[in-house]
Parts: sequence; structure tokens; C-alpha cells
Amino acid sequence: MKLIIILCAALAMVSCTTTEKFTLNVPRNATVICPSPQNKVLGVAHNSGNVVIECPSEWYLGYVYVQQEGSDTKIPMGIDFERCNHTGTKIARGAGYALTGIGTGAVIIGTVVGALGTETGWVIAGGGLALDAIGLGVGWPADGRISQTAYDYNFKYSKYQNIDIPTLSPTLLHPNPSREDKGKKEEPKQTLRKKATSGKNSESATASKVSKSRTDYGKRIEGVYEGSGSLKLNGRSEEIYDEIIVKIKRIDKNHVLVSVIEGEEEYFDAPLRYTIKNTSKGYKLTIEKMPNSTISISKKGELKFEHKDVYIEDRKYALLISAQKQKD
Amino acid sequence: MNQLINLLCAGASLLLVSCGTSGNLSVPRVIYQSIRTEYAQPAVIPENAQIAVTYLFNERGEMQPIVNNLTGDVMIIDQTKSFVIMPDGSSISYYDPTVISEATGNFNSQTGSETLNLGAITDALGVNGRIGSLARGVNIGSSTTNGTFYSKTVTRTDQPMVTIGPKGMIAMSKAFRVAGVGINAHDNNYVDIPFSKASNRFSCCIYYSADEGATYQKLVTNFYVSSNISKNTADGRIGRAFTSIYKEKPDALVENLFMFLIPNNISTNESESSWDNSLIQHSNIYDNYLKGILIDFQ
Repeated sequence: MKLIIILCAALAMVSCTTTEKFTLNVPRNATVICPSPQNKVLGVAHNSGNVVIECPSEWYLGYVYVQQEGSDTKIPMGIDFERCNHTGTKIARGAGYALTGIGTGAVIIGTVVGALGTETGWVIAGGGLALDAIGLGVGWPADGRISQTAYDYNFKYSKYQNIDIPTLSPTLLHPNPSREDKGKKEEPKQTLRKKATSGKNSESATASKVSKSRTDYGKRIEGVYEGSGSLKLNGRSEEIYDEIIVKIKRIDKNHVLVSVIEGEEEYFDAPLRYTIKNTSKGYKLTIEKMPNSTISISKKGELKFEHKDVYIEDRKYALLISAQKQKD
Repeated sequence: MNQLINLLCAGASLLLVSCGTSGNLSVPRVIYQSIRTEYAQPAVIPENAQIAVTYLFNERGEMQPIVNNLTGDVMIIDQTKSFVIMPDGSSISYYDPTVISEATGNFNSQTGSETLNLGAITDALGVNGRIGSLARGVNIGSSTTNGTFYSKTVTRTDQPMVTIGPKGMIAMSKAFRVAGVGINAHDNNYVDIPFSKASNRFSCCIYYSADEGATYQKLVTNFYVSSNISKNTADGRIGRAFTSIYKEKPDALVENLFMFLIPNNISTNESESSWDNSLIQHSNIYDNYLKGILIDFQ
């Protein structure tokens, strides 16, 4: 009997804390790191790209860091979970409790009956003790597990998880202006930037041929559009415009003049002349011989301005604006 | 004997049905949030700067300013005239005995490898006797904005006037929770909006004197939530939510202050059952990742 009790106790001791195992597929030679304060390395993906993660059932691990070979950046990536009732453990705990309860009852009753002089009483008490031992052996470890987070909240981590590391930018794509730059801009008549030129040779209102249509598209899109934008050099934002205005003025049914106004000043040295095309989604405006300069305007008045041939002091920039048509 | 067996069986049945758990793990969404100051974070703190304020945030949206006296003289902070303006326009003074505010998080970004404590902030700002660095201008690039901060290491003084010794620093007396920041983030989705378009703006004003109270100046820093991305994860697919956040914001990890939040019912239940909010520890629950600090100076 003693042996049974000792065995049960030992079993209980080793079974209280369990771990959750799952496999992460990450880029080859990437390191998977635990977000614990110690930043423990959970594994390195060698040839297969698989890392077997083992974390205590007491944890909820929402994410891990993945550090790619040769990179200092630890990229937090989410860990998937699934619902899991841990039914076996719960049944074991219930059965353990039940057996222990029955055993204890039997011991009490058997002892009372035995003390009254009936031999069967001691047999019942002995059987009760045996049931107690079995109940403890089954129920105690299960009870220890049930209180752990993964069991208590009925979840397990998905067995096999593929982690695709996205392409990340090492610099801010839309940085805020610095206090100094903003201060300088707010000073009247002290623009940091010289007037921009659209293309190497500025297009003016005098250029290009006219193709006629019955509908007056020029009149439809004419107006003031307000929004924000940025000036980019080789894909990096050089300037951010919190408030920028695009003014569209009708020339005829199919042509308009476009002025961009930033900080109460004309952005370009001359208004840009665009030809309007009606599309299923709205209107598309183009400059002749400049395919990199387009404006699209939705039927709801949302304007997207994209001009990739903006020259400022002989450097080629891209000007991007998103704006909304203002009511007249 | 039959009655006895029936009794024992009834007891066993009761024990079998008493195996309740706390419910199922529920993670409704993953949130990414970046907080910026109106102007870009400084690359260099100029030699003649008198004051630098480091703003720490935690996952609960609580903001804790640490004021650094960059001068060689005593600096006085007037907490009665230092305040926070909340997104709803309400203003709360740092010294108001009627207001009780205590940070309940640890300002613990859980980045782990770098610990940003008082000494690290000092190093970042080039104070504490690093005159050489200060003279050249101190670079506070991304490497020094990583880290973990434990508010317990900082002395808070809830007095109307607080004095900071030369090259010293002190934490403002209260850490106020800002609505819409951290775990209580709104569900709106926007990426890299400019300050002028932001709906969730808040400000902090530090009223200080660098000449022993003869004259006072104020350092006002305007903050806003520049990106807020919320992804549904009802099916437990947290990984997919992270990936789509990175697709929407490829520069998510280079913001000066950002956080990934995985709100769930485990943390919520723990918080509710805690008898003392200030002692909440999420030692076994890795459900938020917060990185960075914001700095302003004058």
C-alpha cells in the first residue's frame, strides 16, 4: 500500500507542470526567440526550416520573435492557437476525485462497521484505501494540469505553423517633418524648395491637340481638392505635406489646367495641362507624352495625383497627393 | 448496503461534474498602434538644450514623462501648471490632490535584450557628465529607443514644485491613461496619418524654470496615434493578423514608439481578480509587445 502511495505521489510531482509542443516553419537559419525577459532562444531553423517549440502549459504565448540570419531585427510574429477541451485530462481529474471520494467514504464506513465487530467492515475500509490511492494517482496529476493556462482556457497551439516573414522597410516611409523644417516653412516667403517643374520641359496651357466629346468632363471635375501628400526621392519621403490643394480649372470639355498649392504657394512653375478620359471608375487625367504623370478622380470626388517626373533643382522627384473634392 | 452504494455514487457524480474551467481562450483581434509626436523625433539634442522629456507608455495607454535637467543648475518643475490634455480636450494637472492616478502597468516593453532603465535614458540623452558627447550633439537614433523600462526604479514626487538637481531627472508624479491608446485602442484602421488629420491627439505641458524660479518656460509636446491597425482573429490565427499588419505597414518596426497588442480574456480575468492593480504581473502571458520611447526637448 505504501508503495502505491509513494508511486502516486511521485507521479503527481512529475506531472503537474506540462509543456505545449508545436512546430514553426521559418526561413532557413532563422532563430526563434521567446519574448520572456530572458529572451531565451527557442530554436534555430536549420535545413528543414522547422523549429520545434516547447513552452510551459502555464503560458499563453501570443507571439515569438523571429530573427533572420545576418539581421539584428527581432520580428514579432503571432502564434496560432486552436480550441482544445483537454477532455482526457478532465475525465481523469473527475474520475480521480470520484474514486477518492468513494474510497474515503468506504474507509469511514468500513472503519465504523469494523469497530462494531463485523469483519467485513475492515475489508471495506481496506478497499476504500486502495481506491483512495488510485484516485489520487489519477486525479492529482490531472488536477495540476487543469489549473495551467492552456488547460484552464481550453486551447493548444496549432501543431504546425508556417511563418512567412514579410518584407519590412528599414526606414520610416512617411516621417513627420522636423520641428526646424516646419518652423522654416511657416515663415512667410521662405520656401525651402524651389518651384518644381513638370518633366524636363514644362508643359504649359498652350500645348497639345484637342479631341472632342459630347460630355463636358472638364466641368464635371473642375474644382478644389484638399488633402495630403508627399514628395519622394528614390522611394523615400523627402517632404510630407499635411495640407495640400489641387485646383482644377476647365479649359474645355476634355482638358483642364491643374495647379498644386502647398503652403499658399504654387508648387509648379506653371499649371499642368491634362487631358481627361472617362473610365468606368471615374476620370483619368494624363499629360501628353508623360505617362508617369496621372490623376485619377473617382465619381465620389476622391483624387489621386501621381507625378513621377517632378524636377526640383535638377533632381527628379515623385509627387503623390491624395485629396477630396471640396464643395463649391 | 445498497443505500450506502447509492450515496457514494451520488457523491462521485457530483465530483465528476465539478470540473469547471475559466472558459475558452478568446482573442478577438490583434492591434498595431504607433504613437508619434507632431514633429519628427530629434536625431540630436542640441548643446544648448535645457530640458529633455522622455515619454514612456505602457500597454494600458498610460503615459509617464521623465524630465531630464540638462543644465548645470537646479531646475524647478511646477507640477500645478504642468498638465496633460486628453484626446477629449479635458486637461489634468500633474499636481491635483483630488486626482488619484497610479500606473498599473510596468512600462515593460518586453523587448528583453536591452533594458532601458534610468541609466540608459541618461546615456541616451548624453547627460550625467558626458559633456563631450553633449558638446558634439548626442545621437539618439533607433538603437537607444529600444528597451524595457521599469517605473519602479524612478522616484515620483507628488508635490506642487519639484526640484531637479543639475543633470538629474525625475518622473512626473502621475501616469495618466490616454483614451484610445494601448489595449483600449479604437477599431478604426488608418496608417501614417499626419498630425493635422489625426482624431486621437493629446498633449503634455511641462512648466519649468531653469533659473531657480525667476522665470518659467513651458515645453509642450503634442502626440497622436499615427497608425492604428486592428485585425480580427476570431479563429485563433494570430500569425495571419501579424502578417497582414506588416503588409499594410512595412515600416511597422521602425516607428519610434509602437505596440502590438493581443487582447484576450486571460489577462482580463487576471486583472479583474487582482486585489491590487498596481501589482499586476503578466509573467506567463506574452500578449503585448511595446517598443520605444518618445523624446522632446527645449
